Amino acid sequence: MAKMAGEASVLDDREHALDLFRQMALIRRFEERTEEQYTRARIGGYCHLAIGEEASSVGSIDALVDGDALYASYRDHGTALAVGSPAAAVMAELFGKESGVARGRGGSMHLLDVERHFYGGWGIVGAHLPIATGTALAMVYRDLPFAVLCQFGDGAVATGSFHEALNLAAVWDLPIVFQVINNQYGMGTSVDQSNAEPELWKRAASYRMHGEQVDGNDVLAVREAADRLLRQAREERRPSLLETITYRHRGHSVADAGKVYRTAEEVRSWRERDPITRYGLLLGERGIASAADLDGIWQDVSAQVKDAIDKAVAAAAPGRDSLYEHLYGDPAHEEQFSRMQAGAPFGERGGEQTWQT
Amino acid sequence: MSEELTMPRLSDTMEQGTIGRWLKREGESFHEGDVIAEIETDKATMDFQAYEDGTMLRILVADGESAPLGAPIAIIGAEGEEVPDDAPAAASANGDGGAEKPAGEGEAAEPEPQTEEQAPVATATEAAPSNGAPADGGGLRASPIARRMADAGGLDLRTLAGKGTGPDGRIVKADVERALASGANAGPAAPGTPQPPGEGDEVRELTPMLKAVARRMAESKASVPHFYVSSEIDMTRALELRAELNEALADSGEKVSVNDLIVRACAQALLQHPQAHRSYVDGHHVYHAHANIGIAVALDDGLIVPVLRDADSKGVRQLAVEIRDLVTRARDGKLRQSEIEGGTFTVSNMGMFDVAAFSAIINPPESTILAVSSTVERAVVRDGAVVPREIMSVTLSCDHRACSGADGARLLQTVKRHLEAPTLLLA
Amino acid sequence: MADVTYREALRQALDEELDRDPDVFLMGEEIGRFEGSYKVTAGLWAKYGAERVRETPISEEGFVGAGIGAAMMGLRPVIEIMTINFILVAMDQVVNHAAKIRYMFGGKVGVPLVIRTPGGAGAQLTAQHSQSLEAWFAGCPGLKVVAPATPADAYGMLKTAIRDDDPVLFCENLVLYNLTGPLPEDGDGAIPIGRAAIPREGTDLTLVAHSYTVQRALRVADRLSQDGISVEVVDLRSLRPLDVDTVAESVRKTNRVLVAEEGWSTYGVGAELAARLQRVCFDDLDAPVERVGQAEVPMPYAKPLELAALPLESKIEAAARSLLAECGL
Repeated sequence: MAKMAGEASVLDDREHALDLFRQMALIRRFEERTEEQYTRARIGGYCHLAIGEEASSVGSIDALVDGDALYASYRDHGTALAVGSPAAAVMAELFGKESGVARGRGGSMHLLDVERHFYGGWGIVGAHLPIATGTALAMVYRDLPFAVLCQFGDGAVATGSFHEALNLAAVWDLPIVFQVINNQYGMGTSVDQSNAEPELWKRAASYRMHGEQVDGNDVLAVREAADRLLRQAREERRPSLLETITYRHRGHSVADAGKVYRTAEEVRSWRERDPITRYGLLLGERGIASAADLDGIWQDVSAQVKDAIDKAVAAAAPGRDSLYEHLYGDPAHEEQFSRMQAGAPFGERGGEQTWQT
Repeated sequence: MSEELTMPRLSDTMEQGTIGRWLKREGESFHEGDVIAEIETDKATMDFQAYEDGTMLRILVADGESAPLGAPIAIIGAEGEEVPDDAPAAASANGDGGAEKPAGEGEAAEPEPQTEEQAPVATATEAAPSNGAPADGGGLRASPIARRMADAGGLDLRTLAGKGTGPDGRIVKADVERALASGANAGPAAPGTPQPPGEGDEVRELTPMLKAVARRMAESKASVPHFYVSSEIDMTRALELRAELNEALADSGEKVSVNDLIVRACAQALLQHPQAHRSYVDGHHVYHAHANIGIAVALDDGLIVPVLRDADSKGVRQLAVEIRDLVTRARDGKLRQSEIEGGTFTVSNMGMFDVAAFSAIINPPESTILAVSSTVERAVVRDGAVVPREIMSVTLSCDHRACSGADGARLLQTVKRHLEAPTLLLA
Repeated sequence: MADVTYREALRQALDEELDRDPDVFLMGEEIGRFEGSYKVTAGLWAKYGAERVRETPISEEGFVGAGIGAAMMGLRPVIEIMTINFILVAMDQVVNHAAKIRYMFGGKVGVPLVIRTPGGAGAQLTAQHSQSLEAWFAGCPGLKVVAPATPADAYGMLKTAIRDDDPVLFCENLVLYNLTGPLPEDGDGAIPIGRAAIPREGTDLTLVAHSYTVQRALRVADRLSQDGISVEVVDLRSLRPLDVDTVAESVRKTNRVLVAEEGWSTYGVGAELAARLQRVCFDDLDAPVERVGQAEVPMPYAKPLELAALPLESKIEAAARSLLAECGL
């Protein structure tokens, strides 16, 4: 997470410029292989891929400073990788292994990395906006010079909690940037269908909040806007709404072919505007990276993802005896619950871990 | 015996059905579970299955024809059976109302006879539970704590059957408390007239052992139909044999008692009379392969019955050694659970108490128990002369579900013969 | 020390915790200038300021979520939901989030949050403002749910709840706010979560209750004692964790048990206790476990109907007498 403002400054720093490419390439390769692992039934549950949306995610996360907090939706594989969580730990979480970022308790939708201030992928659309708002409140309460970046999809804009969170943030002058990653569809329902005002950034006006829209497939544009709005949040305690326009190449989840609610032509047109290809061309044009340089990055990230899969396959699953761990955290909780064993349902009375699963 | 098949109810709203087709033709046999017809209801075509094996004797409603619910559609019976002459030839010919709609207007219009008929039945049904004691404890309504207290107090809850004061005659804690206080074990409890302990009386909890004895004996007396066979055994020669043996064994420290000889005789006799050596368990007879003989041992305040296993395969000396060991450990409270289980017969010897005669309660699932009284010198007639002999009175208690009177008598006869001709004991 | 009201006991606990720990702050509708819809936070806004006694718009989902997000950062928010009826619009935050976060994230982040909220009925507040929904939450792993019945317990358990590292739903009761009782003379007064109390001992019947129903139960016990019936009252105090052991010990003594609650009985606290007691006290029971709750209708407005629906003392007493009659007492 290098910290400089503006397009020029990123491109002036070759390492930084290449790092953005590397991050997006890693996410792309990781998600492609994730899809493959899902079809091989090594990954369970839902699996929401963000292929095509990498610039929206990476651009704004790159603008965070150490101490800023990050919240994301359930489409969060790229979020975790962008904050720097080890690919092996992310993949292990998808595989449900103890070495996963959430010890195999969360899975695809609930990645997090508290050390890197990434407070989670969240599974209920819109519901993490108030929570992120509370984290911004904590920063004010503690008088910390940091901000919160709260990412969510366009579907969340129609929820009541979007309204409540933005209103609270504005009423309380909280340091938070709400980033709607507009990938055009909430599952199979388009933004037009869901929103009376499909220009989502305009909602900010209802809260006397700054709102703006940028090309979400332009990593530098996203970075520039996020950087500016995060600074404003940190320095002036002013919340804002940033809409980044992008597209999800895959379906809503691996189970959705993504064909019935959109045309092949539409998908093709967005693939032609692929954010990674586009940024690679820019790096070539500016003489920052040759085709061979970029190819080298692709090979590196491919090896990294392969290694992550190998490690996830080899990693240990959580032991059955750990089923009740992490439910409560207070040191007194065992004592508190010690008189609740009697007459508990079968399987919760202890000493009966003999049934087959 | 032939019977009618009627149009079945195959949907919740069905009022009549149509035979789609018969899958079994007249003369064809079928098994339980076979589909014998397809029946079209108002909702779907359903399979109609046979509920038992049989043969299609006559089809009354042909393929494609309809009949109301409950109307006869075929006659089934055994293979080759003739259809009775009065059997219906068609649905409309049935005279018992089966062809009418099940909830037709006719019934609604004539409610009175139905009500009158049902009333006494309902009364009888309600009255049934309180009219007589249930056949077994399983049918008894009692609260869990009442059952537990009754068990602990050695109270047979059946003595309170029909006298419970809880809902629907449920026996509750208070009933058991009253019964125990009034000593209900000796007779039926009289609810409502609790008898508190008299002045100066002391009420003590039973030890677990006494509770178990109380419960088991109460169960036995209440549920096992006892009968008794008594005899007198001339022990003169057996006592001589015992004296001889003990003299010979003096150096070894071993000692043979009269009781050891009795156990030996019983073990031998049991093998000869399998009908007196079987248990009645859940409607079955369990024939015992080996004589496992319980020896009743009186304690200061209690009773325990260690079991000598495979007594039939052991000689007198070995029996004596093992019985002494069991009795000693019984008095010291050092028996293992396995040593008080699995008996097939019990000897209860009260000879040391100068007892003229007594009878014992069977220890289920054993079916017999021998009560042994004191051996006394009596004048008896032998070969036409009055002579003094050592006479021992014994009574065999038998479970009549396991053995008959004759079986018990034969068993006792063999015991007597072996003790009176005691060389047999050494055989 | 003079007796204080339940309301004052809560206020004192909040005051002392705000004073003790700067990470503790209050949040809720009308808790500042207005001093709380039921005046529990009276004086605290003036004393601690708007940052620590934070007034909110009518946005339960929003500010419960915000409390969660602040708690995840290590703060200890104490949220007031004006009445438990309004928590339903924040149900997602309570059940899907507060209860799940620690487990779902593998123990890497926790939610030391308290939600205070009164339930209860009896003032003709009608269907949408007369509910006792605590049992709904007590069935949810990840939450702790307490419902004290006396000023001393309210005082002590609120302190414990605030210091607890897990989310605690702290259920109060509109009718309890004016109940008076002593507070501990000295010491901190904190009372552990998960321990029931026995405010009255007896031998013939165990009467289990929580929150305001405990007060009803004590009065029923008084009345029955005049007929020589000895009732033991168990005040659960905590619904999750539930102190089954204390109830079971009492039932082993009395052999009979009646559970009374203000919520609906079906799937309620009594249902849970009945299930557990039939297992652990099966051989101790002299009669089936009995329950009394609110009639299973939305609370009606008209006074005669409201009285008919409430689990009044007369109804609890009748249930107790009926149960005892089954046992010949």
